[in-house]
Amino acid sequence: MPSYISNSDIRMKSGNLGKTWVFALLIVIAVLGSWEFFWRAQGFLPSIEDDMSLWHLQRSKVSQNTKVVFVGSSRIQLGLHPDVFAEERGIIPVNLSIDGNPPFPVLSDLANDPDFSGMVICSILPRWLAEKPPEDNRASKWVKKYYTRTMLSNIDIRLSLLIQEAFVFRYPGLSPGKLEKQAEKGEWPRPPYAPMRPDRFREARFTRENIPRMLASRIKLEKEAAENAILVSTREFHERIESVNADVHKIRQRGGDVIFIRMPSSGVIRDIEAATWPRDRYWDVFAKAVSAKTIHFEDVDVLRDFQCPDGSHLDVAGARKFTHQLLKILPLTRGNGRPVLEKISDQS
Amino acid sequence: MVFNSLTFFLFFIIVLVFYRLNVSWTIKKIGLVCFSYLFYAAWNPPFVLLLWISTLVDWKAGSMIFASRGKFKRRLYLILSLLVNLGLLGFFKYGNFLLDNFISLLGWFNIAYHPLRPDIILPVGISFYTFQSMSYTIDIYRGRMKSWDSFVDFSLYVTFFPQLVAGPIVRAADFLPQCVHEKTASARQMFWGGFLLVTGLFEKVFIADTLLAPVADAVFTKTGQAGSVDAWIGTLAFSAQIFFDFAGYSTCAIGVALCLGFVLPDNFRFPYGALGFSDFWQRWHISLSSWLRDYLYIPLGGNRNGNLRTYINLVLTMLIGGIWHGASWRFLVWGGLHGIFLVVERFIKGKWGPVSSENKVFTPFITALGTYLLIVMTWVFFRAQNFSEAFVILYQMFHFSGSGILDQVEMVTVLAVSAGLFGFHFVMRNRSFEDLVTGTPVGIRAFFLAAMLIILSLTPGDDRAFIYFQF
Repeated sequence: MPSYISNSDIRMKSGNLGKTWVFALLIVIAVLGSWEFFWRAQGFLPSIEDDMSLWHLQRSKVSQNTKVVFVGSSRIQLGLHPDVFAEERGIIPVNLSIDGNPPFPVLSDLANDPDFSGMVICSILPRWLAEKPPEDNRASKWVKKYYTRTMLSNIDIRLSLLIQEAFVFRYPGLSPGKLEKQAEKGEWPRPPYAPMRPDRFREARFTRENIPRMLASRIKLEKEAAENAILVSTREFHERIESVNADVHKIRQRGGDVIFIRMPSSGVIRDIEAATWPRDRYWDVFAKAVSAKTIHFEDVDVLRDFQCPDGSHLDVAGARKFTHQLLKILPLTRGNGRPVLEKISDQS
Repeated sequence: MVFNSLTFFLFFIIVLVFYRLNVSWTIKKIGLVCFSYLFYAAWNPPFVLLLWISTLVDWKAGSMIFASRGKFKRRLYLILSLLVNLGLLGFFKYGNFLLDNFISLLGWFNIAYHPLRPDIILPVGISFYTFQSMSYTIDIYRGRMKSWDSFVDFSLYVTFFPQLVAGPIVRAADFLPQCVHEKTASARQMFWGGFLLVTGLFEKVFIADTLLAPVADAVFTKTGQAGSVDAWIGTLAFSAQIFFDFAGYSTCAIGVALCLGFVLPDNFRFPYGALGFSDFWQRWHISLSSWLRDYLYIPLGGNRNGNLRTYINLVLTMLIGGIWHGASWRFLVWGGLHGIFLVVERFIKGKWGPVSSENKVFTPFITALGTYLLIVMTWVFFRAQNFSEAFVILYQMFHFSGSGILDQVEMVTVLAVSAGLFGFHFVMRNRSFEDLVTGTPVGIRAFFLAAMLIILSLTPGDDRAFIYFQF
């Protein structure tokens, strides 16, 4: 053996390594067990991290048999309840929404996927039409990385889900880094109000939240977003709609379809949105120019008066009701007349 | 498949279970080869073909070199082996780089050339396994070893998964004899291998990825906003990150191999405590630097032909060492800088004598600190995306303009880690990690092992690849 090898068994002195491992594992079990017990006592339940791997897992479920895909941002992620689709239509939707990001990269990705011929329910906010893409454009990044992931990625995320669903201490909000940042702000960690499910639906429960504070924070965010918005030119705005139309055309050519939906907002947030992104200047122009069906919650009696506790997101009960009402008015056929959203009785 | 993934954890358990089955040693070795292909195929299955080409060509070339009596034939087979290995490396790693530079060169003569750009993907670890595989045929050609009889053993040597994609680069003479008799890891090897695996993962996942990488990324992606403090802290962060990342991988590789009863060479020996650059290269990426020394520097003449020739050989070796890392002029500059530092050090040593505690100027501490700071500066070319970014960072380092990117917590964290790293390496430079661990009381050792396991359990995963995978 060359002289630089220092890890050979011959050179290793006896070091009671077995005892070291036994003591270490006892300490690990004691510390992690106490940590787990402590946070569970604080009301935390195991929760899943909404990251790129989980999105990739969902994206990999899109196939020739996929009937419905949700695309958009957090509003559709919290606002359309997949269980209602399953119960009322026997359909298990794939949720590809990405929090805080425009839907266009994902819509284009589906349009370019020759295997996909289902229906896309795409949540559109006027700001996504009018603004330049955000600096942190996760949607583009996640789509791009989907095609360079390794063949074992899905196994890895499934194993990770097993652990995340079993242990509170794997919740990212309780990682040492996050705890340190919260401590700097003098805040105590709180259980997530909208924990993630493996199918990427987030069940929002605002009962334990300080709603006035949450609302104030969201108003501040909306105002800042409006002030800092970098708008695209009128030409770019129309080019964007043309690009969306091209994607719709591709999906329709394969027998699929797209429905654009404006998810509800309420109270002050709705007022701010109406003032910042006037409907006649953005949504109506889009709805007129786009070749797919559009649904604005304000235009439908049964969708109009939903209350969002934080102004822009439905809670889980609201999501159930909203999805139920939406399913009543969603078209039952695709562009080519083939059924998409069959009733359960149609499937049997 | 990466060590810091749950898939690897599952894979490794399956390998260990298979390894304990009551089957023949040959079956176990074939199993290890198959598992190694699976490990590699996890990135890009078609690239397993490259492994097969390297294995078959070098296996055959080695046998033919050994069997041939004539010098001409022996040389012919060696050249064939080198052409195939370097050809693969050249095509996949340097193809686009050579094409770009050829186009630029023509551009200087006002010749517009717009060829179709081939869409070449770099196979993971190609630089590692081609160098490893080539060393076998070169050693046979030089008469340092016989060709190996067992093809299974040789396949395992080329593909052994713990060190396949990022080293250590193992010599055939060190690995193949380990394949002769059945390897069953002893309890001590298992415990020590596990300890090393945990240590390596802790270095990578927590120190490199969680503490340091965000700081280095913040500075090197916003070089225009960086002040002097940012430039120094960002570069210190990257210097520590690349050590913990790469040494972490090597430590994991050594640990995993040890759990299977195989011994791999150390790749790092407290490099930031080095007393000068020649000392540094005996401590940093040892398996590459010793490869370059044995198969490049010494054949070029080493230090046998006078000072000038020695200086040229040093710079040439380091330039090739630099470009080995990546197809970019930045790596060439990085290697060139190290070559120049080696030359200057050799000159100084010739003039003022070696470093010693009696030497009033170059005391060990001053020399180690100076070496460390110069090495830190060379990393700028390694990390920056282009020369303009590199020069901005270097300019800012000596421009004294405060901080515009990093907050206090980040600065303190990086300074603490860097100071700790330098201090630890300086103190440990004449000792081994094993000495340190075995000399520590069981309770304290268990506490550190438990702390690493707990922190790893609580740290969210990151999809950040090992830095050296790109090489």
